[in-house]
Amino acid sequence: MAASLGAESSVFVSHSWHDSRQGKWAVLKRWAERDTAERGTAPLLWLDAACVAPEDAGALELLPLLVSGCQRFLILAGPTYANRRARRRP
Amino acid sequence: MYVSFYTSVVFAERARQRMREQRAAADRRKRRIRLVAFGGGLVAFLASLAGVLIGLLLGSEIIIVSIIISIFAPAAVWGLFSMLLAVQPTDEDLVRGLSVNPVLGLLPFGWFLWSATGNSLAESAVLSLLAMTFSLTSAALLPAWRDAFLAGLLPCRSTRVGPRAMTAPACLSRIWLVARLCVGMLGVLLVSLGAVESYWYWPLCLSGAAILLPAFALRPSARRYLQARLARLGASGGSDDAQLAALAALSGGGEKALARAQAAFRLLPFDKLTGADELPGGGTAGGAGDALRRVARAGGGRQLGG
Repeated sequence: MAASLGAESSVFVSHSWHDSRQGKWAVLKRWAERDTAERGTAPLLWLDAACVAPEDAGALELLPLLVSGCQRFLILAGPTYANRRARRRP
Repeated sequence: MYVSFYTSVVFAERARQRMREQRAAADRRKRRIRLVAFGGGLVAFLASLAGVLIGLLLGSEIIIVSIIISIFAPAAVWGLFSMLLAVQPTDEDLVRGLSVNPVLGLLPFGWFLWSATGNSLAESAVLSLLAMTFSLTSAALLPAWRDAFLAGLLPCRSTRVGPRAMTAPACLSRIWLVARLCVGMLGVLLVSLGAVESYWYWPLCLSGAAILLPAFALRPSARRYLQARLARLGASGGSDDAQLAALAALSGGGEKALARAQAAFRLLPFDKLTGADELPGGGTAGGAGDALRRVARAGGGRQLGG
């Protein structure tokens, strides 16, 4: 959904596309449930696959602004998260 | 095309102007805070010192002296430390001045205390020790005169021959060391005086403790921490909007980039996610990306406020 920069409960999700979906989902689910219990509302995620349309790929140039537009920054650090070689596209 | 280029230049220039104004406002806030800390500390220090001197001149009774010292001495010490906390290692002229000029006041003050020694043992011993403390403090600061000369800050010219001048941060560290030693000695003397004058035991002991506390607590690490906190006060760039504008200007796009980012900003409620298959993985977004984008776009259509 459209939102204002700096919206309440906004979380920028940083992850590697090469990590397994199941692992990331398990961690994200556990974190989100705990966060929802603490804050009383579900977190609003900025997830690249969902929040950037293919026709608007130029929006990635604005990544610093999008990151700073979120109140929190969540890292799903899997085995390939810090490995540039593994993240390179074939 | 020219209109677009002109508009982007105007927006970028406007964002830069806004950044300059914010930076100037932050500088003004920082200067004001430092002025309050330094000036307030200096006023408290000098006024309390004057109070102690007047008390010593007027009070022939040890009781009066005890009362005055137990009130004004901690105030002077806290004022002194507040003043020193506002001094940054980069303020070279101020550091040199603080390390050179106090000697001119400390030595006469020490001699005055020496001449004011009374007949009673406690009074005589305390004032004599105070006089010695001030004299030794002056002696510890005297090398700063040579450093100030070498740094070329005194009227006489510096020379390239001979030892190098102590750097301003080292000079500031020495000032702090001397101040802590001097204040610590004063605190010990007050506690000792309280032990001798049993009737004024508690006021003098509490006063001595109030003096000893900063002398012990303000170690170099604590001093650096407090100075950094003080320097950061008022340094924030203002509201979130202002920080975003500054970031947009740094990105080179100014308000245009900010408007684009605002238009492209989407958020996905976590409860719209149903399972692992919707997340990217294995190097591909899969088919889930489209579904997620549909959810993100059609998620109620309401605007989320910042």
